[in-house]
Amino acid sequence: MSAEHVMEHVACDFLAWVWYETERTGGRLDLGDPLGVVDVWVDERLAFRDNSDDRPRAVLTGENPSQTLEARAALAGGKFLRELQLGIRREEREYGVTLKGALLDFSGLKLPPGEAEEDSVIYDRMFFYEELHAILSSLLKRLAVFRPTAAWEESESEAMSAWISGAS
Amino acid sequence: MAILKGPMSVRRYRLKDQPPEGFRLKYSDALEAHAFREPHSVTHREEVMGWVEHANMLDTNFQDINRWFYEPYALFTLRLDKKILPTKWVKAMRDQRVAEWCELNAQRMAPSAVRRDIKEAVEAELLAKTMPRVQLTEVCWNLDEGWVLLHSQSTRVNDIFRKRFHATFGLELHAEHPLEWLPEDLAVALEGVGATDFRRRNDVR
Repeated sequence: MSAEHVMEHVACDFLAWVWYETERTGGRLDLGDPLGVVDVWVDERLAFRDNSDDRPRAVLTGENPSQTLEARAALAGGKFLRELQLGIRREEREYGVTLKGALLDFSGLKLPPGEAEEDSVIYDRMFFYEELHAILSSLLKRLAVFRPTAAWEESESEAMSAWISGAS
Repeated sequence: MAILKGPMSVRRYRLKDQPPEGFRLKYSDALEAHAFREPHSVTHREEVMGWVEHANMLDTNFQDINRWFYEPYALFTLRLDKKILPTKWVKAMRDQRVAEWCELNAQRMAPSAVRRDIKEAVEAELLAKTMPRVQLTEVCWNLDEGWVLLHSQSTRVNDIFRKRFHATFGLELHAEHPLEWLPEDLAVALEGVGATDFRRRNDVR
């Protein structure tokens, strides 16, 4: 079994937690220095898989799929979130990306339009790519600080379960 | 080139080891030594692979570093060519020529050896006329930070890329796991907890 399979739970938990955080906070998250406040929302695609599958078994697309009963029901039914399409805005820059699988591959990544001349487009594009990577790393860091603590066990996982079951 | 324009779908790699001192000077030669080369025969049907310039798949000259290196990013493309024969054409032409052979030789059926020879001749004839299917996969390497983006999430293409990269630069890559985005202590702590099972409001270890 590869390392990415062993550690796939990290990606699944991260995607579910980001989804939960966007709903709990209204999507406005303060990531501290140097990123500051970013807006994050779940966009038009979520894909779930069973524990035994590699490929997504339930795919929800369209307008606001994260708001549907089917989406939370999939998590409540024991499925794992494998793909999540996010919209992210920092200052005037807006990103769209689908995070996929254990490696959180960036798929369908839409970067803000740049203003560079043709021979320096690479610097605009990589600046945007690295900014998005830093935002997602910062989000993962927030989870990593919180997830192994007793507070997670005592309150956050309870709150997430209640959210998933529709009690909050 | 999607790394420069349009939506990107990438997998991110990290170098397993630091490159040796001064190896940047050898990039051009390394890329050119493993560049794409047209096969010698037009009837070649195996997959052919190699590096090409990011801006032009026919350009394999990496000597002018200003055309593919934008400090600290190296941009180049993996080209994979394979000729795919149209099976319906192969079958139709083979059947027609087998029928012609039978008529010419006053036979009801052609022996299997004859059928095989005819099929090989038809395939060679079609291979000579067929353009290869070309797959171009872009690579962006940040030399300062030691990460590489490959514009593909196909397992097959990623496997080919890692091997080709190693053969070219002598450097091994591994697909970057999200835990590598974190400081080591946090990564260890997060790796140690199990997946959250939202059905039961507790954790499955």
